[in-house]
Amino acid sequence: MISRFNLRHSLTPSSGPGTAFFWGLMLMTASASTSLGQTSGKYMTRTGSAHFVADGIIKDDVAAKTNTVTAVLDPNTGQVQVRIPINSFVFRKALMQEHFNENYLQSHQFPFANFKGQVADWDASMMQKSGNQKVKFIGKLEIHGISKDVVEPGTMELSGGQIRMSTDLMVTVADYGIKIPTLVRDKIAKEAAVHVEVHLKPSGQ
Amino acid sequence: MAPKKSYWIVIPLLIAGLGWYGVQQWSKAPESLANTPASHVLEAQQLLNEFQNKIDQSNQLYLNQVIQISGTCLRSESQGDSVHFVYLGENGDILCQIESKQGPLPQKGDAIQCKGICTGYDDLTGGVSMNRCILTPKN
Repeated sequence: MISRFNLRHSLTPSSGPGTAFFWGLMLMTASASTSLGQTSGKYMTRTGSAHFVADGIIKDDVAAKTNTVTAVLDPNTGQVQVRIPINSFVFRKALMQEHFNENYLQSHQFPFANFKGQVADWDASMMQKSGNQKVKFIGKLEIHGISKDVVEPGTMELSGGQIRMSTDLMVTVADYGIKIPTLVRDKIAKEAAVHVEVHLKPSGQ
Repeated sequence: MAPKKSYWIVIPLLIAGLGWYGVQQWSKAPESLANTPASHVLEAQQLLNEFQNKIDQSNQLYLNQVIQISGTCLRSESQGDSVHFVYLGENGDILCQIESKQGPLPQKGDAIQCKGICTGYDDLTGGVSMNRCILTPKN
């Protein structure tokens, strides 16, 4: 049986040729675990999806979808960041897509819609529960260069080592300085119904 | 009097024709980029480096532009039957969403050329995304 003293003594090099090697090894291990802690602890995706429908009184299929939504979740704090490239939205009509990018959202100037916030009342046990969990996302939503505080309902589900998160929100276009010309006012809704869904994997996978 | 009578036939036909043309133009689906020339042709890693080092300048050059990049496929993946992705660059930092499946997806190590619309650099993940991409094998 090894006593506590003997165990500590056997693991602590005091002098001799092995000392430098031991501390070198310890330093390498420490630096490796620090860098892993910065990146591997988070869950992320670059291929989330988002779509919106903004049909006005006159139905004209004002809807678009993207599959290159980026999202990152810190499972220790519940902090969430989501980024949607505006120019990645694909419409069924080319002219509508062109107007969306050039006239309404001005994607050359404001290339991304961003959400930065938090899952409300986050605690570590949420990462252990199976099944669909109802959550609230609290934070700042930035579209067209204008940032607003938002609280949006959503869901979260753990499955096969991944976290699926989704939310449905209504975006009032005027709140974000998006001007709709009078000519097409009846074709475009004042509020767009937006759905965002991401499947987050541990980073590095 | 005969020419005046013909106006009543020609003018409505002209209006109907213009209306039909307008509806056709409005309803046209986004065209494939297959025949659209690329404004810039460069290596995938060079594109990433430029965005990482000179974000404003790179946004002006590449954002929303049809560009063609070449590089080595790190991996490819599909979501269902219609959404396909190819990752290029040393760490797969350049994400290309393929417009529609154009034959088998490239495998790790394949040298490819990819033409698509650059949707910008995302500092959240440190990657560049391209959309509606057309893949061509690198010669």
